[in-house]
Amino acid sequence: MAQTSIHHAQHTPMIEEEERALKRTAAPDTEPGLQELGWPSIGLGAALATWAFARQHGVKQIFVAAAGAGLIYNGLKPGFDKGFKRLLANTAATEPVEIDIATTIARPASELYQMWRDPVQIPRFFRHIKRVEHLGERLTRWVAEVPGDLELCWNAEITEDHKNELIAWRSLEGSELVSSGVVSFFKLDDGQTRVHLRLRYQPPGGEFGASIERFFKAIPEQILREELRAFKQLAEAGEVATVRGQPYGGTQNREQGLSMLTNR
Amino acid sequence: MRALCWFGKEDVRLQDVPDPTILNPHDAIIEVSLTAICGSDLHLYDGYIPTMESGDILGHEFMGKVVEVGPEVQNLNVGDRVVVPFPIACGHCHHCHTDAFALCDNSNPNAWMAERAFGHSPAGIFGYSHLYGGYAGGQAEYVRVPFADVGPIKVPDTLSDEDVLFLSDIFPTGYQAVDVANIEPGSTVAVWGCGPVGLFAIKSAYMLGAEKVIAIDHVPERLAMARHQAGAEVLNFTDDPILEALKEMTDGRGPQTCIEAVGMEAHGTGLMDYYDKAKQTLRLETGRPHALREAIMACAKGGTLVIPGVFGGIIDKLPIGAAFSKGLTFKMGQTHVHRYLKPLLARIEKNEIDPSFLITHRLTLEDGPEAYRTFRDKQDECVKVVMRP
Repeated sequence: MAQTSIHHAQHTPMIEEEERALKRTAAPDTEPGLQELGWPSIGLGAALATWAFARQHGVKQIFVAAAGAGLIYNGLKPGFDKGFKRLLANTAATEPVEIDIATTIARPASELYQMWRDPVQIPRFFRHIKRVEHLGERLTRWVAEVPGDLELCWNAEITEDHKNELIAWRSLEGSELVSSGVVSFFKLDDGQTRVHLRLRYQPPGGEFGASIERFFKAIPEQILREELRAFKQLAEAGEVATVRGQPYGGTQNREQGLSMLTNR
Repeated sequence: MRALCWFGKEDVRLQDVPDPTILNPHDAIIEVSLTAICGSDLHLYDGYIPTMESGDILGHEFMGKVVEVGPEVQNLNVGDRVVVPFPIACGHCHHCHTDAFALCDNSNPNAWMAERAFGHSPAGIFGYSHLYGGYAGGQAEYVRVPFADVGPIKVPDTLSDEDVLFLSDIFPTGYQAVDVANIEPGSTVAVWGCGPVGLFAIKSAYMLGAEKVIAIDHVPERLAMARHQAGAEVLNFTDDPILEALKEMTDGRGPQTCIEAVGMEAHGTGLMDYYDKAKQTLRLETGRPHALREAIMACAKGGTLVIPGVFGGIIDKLPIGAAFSKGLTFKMGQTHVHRYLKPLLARIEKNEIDPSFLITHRLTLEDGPEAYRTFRDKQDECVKVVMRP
């Protein structure tokens, strides 16, 4: 397993409970990919069709070509059923990645738990998430923004929910991003809360994966670290600190230089 | 609006830039009535603070009138006349709760950068590099002030701008240097640097019960100001052997409290000064800690050394063995300005101090680029520049 995490958070007292929740919430390791297609059928169909077109055109050839097309359709059928985009995404799926980050927030655990459970609040701190749709008590649909005006969607199911303490979730079959995670809220003696987030996901591979590779190249751990910081800022200060949109002297070139320096 | 912008080493220009707008719900926009150049701005001018970007608006000492407030601002109204502290603090994090406002967790949008440089991120600061948040500063006609409920203090119309402007930085900075040293009544305090912070430290030391304050510098008019305006005994380090003189003046013990109000661009004498200048020029060290070294050597056994002077990176040849062997206590850091606003405003109202005593240059923003040079070169007896937009 690829490990990008820093294990500074491992002293968190709830580690055992998190470990157990993460194990139980594990999303299926491999999602169906292009191997789901009926390759022998496609191959045979293609061979028949090629033979038919290579010969002089006649009634016999039309029947053979039709039979070939039927075989090809049969081979591609799982793709129509399960969605080509998803099959493409999960072909050559890479190793799962685990991210493990934590922060301390000067607010009660109950309040932070509520924020985390609120689909309206989530895009305010998870800034790569466009929106979260509430599908049911334990079901949500997540839509992430991917560079190049693409969207990445997955349905998540909450697998464990201990009020004010811990939430564990996993993506459901048919998701474009296979992921699972657990967040815990541990009350510290001084009234603050230690928030510990562990996320495990499988970066999509294949051709669809390549188009969103940039998204994952942007160091997801750093993105998540900033988003957890945004969560802390929202919870404590009611807003996320920014300088985006303030005046400065000089030319437009500066914006590029700044985006290298500034996350917000 | 017009604003003083940084374009590189020794390159400050007055520019036409867009007016600031409300970006967050707790923001306010201030129309600046008076602003100042701080000694620490000279480190930017000289190019010693990294992560400045071409076009950054300078200035962290400013005051003015509120002209717009964000939807969640409760304590301020349009028309209020306020002084704004230079560090930006959210008022709700662990550090703000313990009055350590300059260590605020939530006000630096580039916290990740500061975490890499320092391990943890301090508060954002107006006009003081992207490491400290990249906030546009107040040497401008208007400025956006985040967390406007927490920072700005309303000031009464009976006091003039010059009376209260320095609540934004240098008065609390000089005061905190003495406050955190917990001086015993009747003790001796030595202050390195008779710039604005040093001068306020001298005045504050007397306010807080020091019997004798010894001030060290080499600029004649600053030494004169320390002696005549602030009541210090003065030493000129180009003439006097400082360590011997300080011992002599303290019955051999050395000053119990030493305040280093110089920072990363200290001037010294002799070989060590050339060594530091060469290394700093080559960026092998980021500060010339001459005054700091001397303060460590001079400080009495068991004494406290306070550093309000700004350091940004790495220095070397620091006599840590002397500090260790003498059991010194070090106190340092940016000023928790918010903590001191009310008590120091009260002292101004009671006429215990007139902070405008050190203003030598009253200018406009147009004069800004020239004023930076004059102040840096200590020409024209320049001690403190204030500018009206």
